Amino acid sequence: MKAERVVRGCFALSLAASVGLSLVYLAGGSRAWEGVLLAAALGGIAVGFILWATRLIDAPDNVEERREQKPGEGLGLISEVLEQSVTGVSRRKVLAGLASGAAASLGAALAIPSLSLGPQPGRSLFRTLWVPGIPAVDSEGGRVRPEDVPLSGIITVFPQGSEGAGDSQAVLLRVAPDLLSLPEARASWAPQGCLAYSKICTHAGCPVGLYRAQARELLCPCHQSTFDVLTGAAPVFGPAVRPLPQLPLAVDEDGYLVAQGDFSGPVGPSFWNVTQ
Amino acid sequence: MIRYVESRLGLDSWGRRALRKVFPDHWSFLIGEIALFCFIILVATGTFLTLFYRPDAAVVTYEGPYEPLRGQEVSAAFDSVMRLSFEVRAGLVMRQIHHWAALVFVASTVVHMCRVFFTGAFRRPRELNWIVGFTMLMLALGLGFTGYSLPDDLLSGTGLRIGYSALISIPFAGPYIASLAFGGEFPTENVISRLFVLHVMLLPGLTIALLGAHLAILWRQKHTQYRGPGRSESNVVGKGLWPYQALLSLGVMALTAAVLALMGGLVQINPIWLYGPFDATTVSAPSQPDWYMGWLDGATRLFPPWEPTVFGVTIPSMFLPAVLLPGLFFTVVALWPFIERRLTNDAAEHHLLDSPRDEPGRTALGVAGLLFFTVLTLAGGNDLIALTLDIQVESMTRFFRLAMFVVPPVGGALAYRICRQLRDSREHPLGRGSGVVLRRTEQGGLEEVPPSVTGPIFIAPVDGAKCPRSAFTYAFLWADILGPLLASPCPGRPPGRGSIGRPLPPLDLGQPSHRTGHAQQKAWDGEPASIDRPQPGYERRQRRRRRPRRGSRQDLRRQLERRALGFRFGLLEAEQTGGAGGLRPPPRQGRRRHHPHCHRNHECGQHPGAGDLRGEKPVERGSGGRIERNAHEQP
Repeated sequence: MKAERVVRGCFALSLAASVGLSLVYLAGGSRAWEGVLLAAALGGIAVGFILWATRLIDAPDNVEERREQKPGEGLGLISEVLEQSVTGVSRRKVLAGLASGAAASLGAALAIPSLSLGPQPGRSLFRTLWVPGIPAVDSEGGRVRPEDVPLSGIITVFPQGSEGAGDSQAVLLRVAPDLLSLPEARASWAPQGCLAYSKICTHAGCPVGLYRAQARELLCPCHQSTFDVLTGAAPVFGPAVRPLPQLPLAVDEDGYLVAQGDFSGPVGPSFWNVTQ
Repeated sequence: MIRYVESRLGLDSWGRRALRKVFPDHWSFLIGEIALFCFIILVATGTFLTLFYRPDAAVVTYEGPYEPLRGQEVSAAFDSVMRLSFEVRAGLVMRQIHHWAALVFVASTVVHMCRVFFTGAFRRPRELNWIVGFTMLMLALGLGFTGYSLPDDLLSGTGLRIGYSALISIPFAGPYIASLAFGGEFPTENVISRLFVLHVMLLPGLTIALLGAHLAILWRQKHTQYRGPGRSESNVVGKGLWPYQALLSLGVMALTAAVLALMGGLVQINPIWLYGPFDATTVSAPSQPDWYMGWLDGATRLFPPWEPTVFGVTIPSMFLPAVLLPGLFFTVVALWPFIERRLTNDAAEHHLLDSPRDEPGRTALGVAGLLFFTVLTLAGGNDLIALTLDIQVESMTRFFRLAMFVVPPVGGALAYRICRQLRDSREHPLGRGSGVVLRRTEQGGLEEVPPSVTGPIFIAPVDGAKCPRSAFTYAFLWADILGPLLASPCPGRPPGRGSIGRPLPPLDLGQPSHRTGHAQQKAWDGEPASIDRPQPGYERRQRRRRRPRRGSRQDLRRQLERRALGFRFGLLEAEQTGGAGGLRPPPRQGRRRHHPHCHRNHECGQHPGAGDLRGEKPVERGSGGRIERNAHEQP
């Protein structure tokens, strides 16, 4: 009897909470109260039903026999019925082969249009929008002079006219030129110690947005790949293997930074023919 | 109303049978139901969200009430989620319930799968349903991933970007697949609408179809059950669907919804206004995905910088941890019923569940797998841990690289050892019911067996005392391992004192049984399996062997064997009588009744067992070893 009273109380509580929930909604709503009252309304029903099942009902344990699944018996019947489809056919295999062939090629023909979901990748993975002489601009479109680049921070730059372009973003930073130990061929790529690297991590494509100015390392926050900016962004820690592609920079006659050409390699995460 | 439907559809007998259908009653069987209820809640709240969401990447200016973002250029999708969160009444609570329900959905699916794994419920004939369930887990992961990418915020954009990198890393086909999936090179504008149609139509549709199949197969095959008195491979013992199971399930459904509503109302989740809209040039740090993706993130973090180029084909460093590892892991999981069948050579049907200790190898493998998952998940938060502990993130990564290889095998070996010890300890959770264990003394009285030698005898409650039995003493993993470490299941009753008969020093019951779970069940079934240590492979042979035909030679031999051992050790089954708490032998067929007073010879002349055998073909002596111990034939 006591349990029955509790169950009645639970359902009554749920009822009251539901009314309250409607009132809260009509009064303008509140995330917390909506959640609490909804929980109370559902919780009352929950406790009520669970107690009902476990305390009020005297449900005895029943025993049910499992039907023994005799292999072959039922199966035989089904296959007999299926066999009816080929009674009166002389060359079953040919017929079945042709029918499934027709179905398969129809399926393929219908699946082919899914190719219009996206373009052929082609060489687009190897190219960006940087071309010789194009000015490097920040996200607002403003041109950048070497002396604008802070020694302890980074600027994200784009080819002029394509601000925000995903694959062409580059991180621009400046170090003292005598610290640099770039490969021979890149000696002229860093005017006044200004370095530009692709901002897309060569591991999983996250923007390499953290710069440890003391250690002169770029850090990708996604998987902690770390790149040494002094040696051409060679990876020093983490799962990345390829260095960040470097953007060859130059200073034009007005003293602004421009690109000498495209990045030193394909930007972004590796793919099977990335080295070709 | 019911009569109306009945008369139209003629469901009378089917309905009555369905309502009486028996389901075994155990808390661990409700975990799968929680997953089902989460899915229902997801469909309900998701429908509400769909009414306000716009799957559109077009750039708009945010002009809502959230000050810090006002005037920013955001996508229409992000804008609609902001509007849903701040302007639509009850919108935020619905969105948060939806997200919490998604997390709990995957979690309960995984826990349900672990229950099925550790108890061996996937074995024949349930391999099909394991595959169906596994496919639903894959769909759940897909639903989760597509769902949390929809708001088009900075965090979800990072997830998509990593997904793109994983796709493109597949040798040869990668760039094509990635381009087709995303409609070009990341970031693209079409991806939001594609994710939307996957999230609200294709994946849920498939899930509903498979859910139906899952339940239909379950209904058809009948539920598995744990071992216990009266339970066998050929029956189901439990409570009927109506009213007990139905009301209980309704209660659990409401409880699931209530907890999710409380969390949705009070615990913030995925605050996209703090992350801001997606921007291809920024990333939030630290950034962690939803919990079920964390292990893959962890795996990519731990993977060494290794990107070999073989014959001009580069294997990107994303490919192994983000594509191959989950591919292999999930393949093994999906095919596990078939792998185990191959390993154990056990092709028999199983409807009685194992206790995790009964199969130490399987349990150890499962524990190792879970630990591997756990280490990788923690590694997915290595930057957070490093931040909290104030140490270098590199040290954390190195630590986890080591832990990934050390923790799973050590944990698995530990689990194996614990299972073996538990198995040999005779402290099987199924054997420790409420009450005391009794056996016949040589004088024909009853005595209590001290708890430490729980043999193949029987369990009877004494004095009607209701012994509190925690759900955890029954066969699930942690309880299973912790069980024997806890106090006696019947506190308050001093050990070694029964209410009937006088305590005697325990008889030697022979070697510990080879497998306590099976042995205990056999004891309940009246078989003497746990008295003798079976030969290696005995269990397996037993499982494959069919029950001998009644009256056949094998059947005869079995009977003889059983009776002999029964007499030798004075086995007796008893059950409680009414409310008085006394004991009486259970009603048995005459020919199986024990006659303790004449158990050495049959001089009493009324031994029905002896009569049964008379006139039958004599049993070969010495052929089976065991038969030699036949008390009837001793001089």
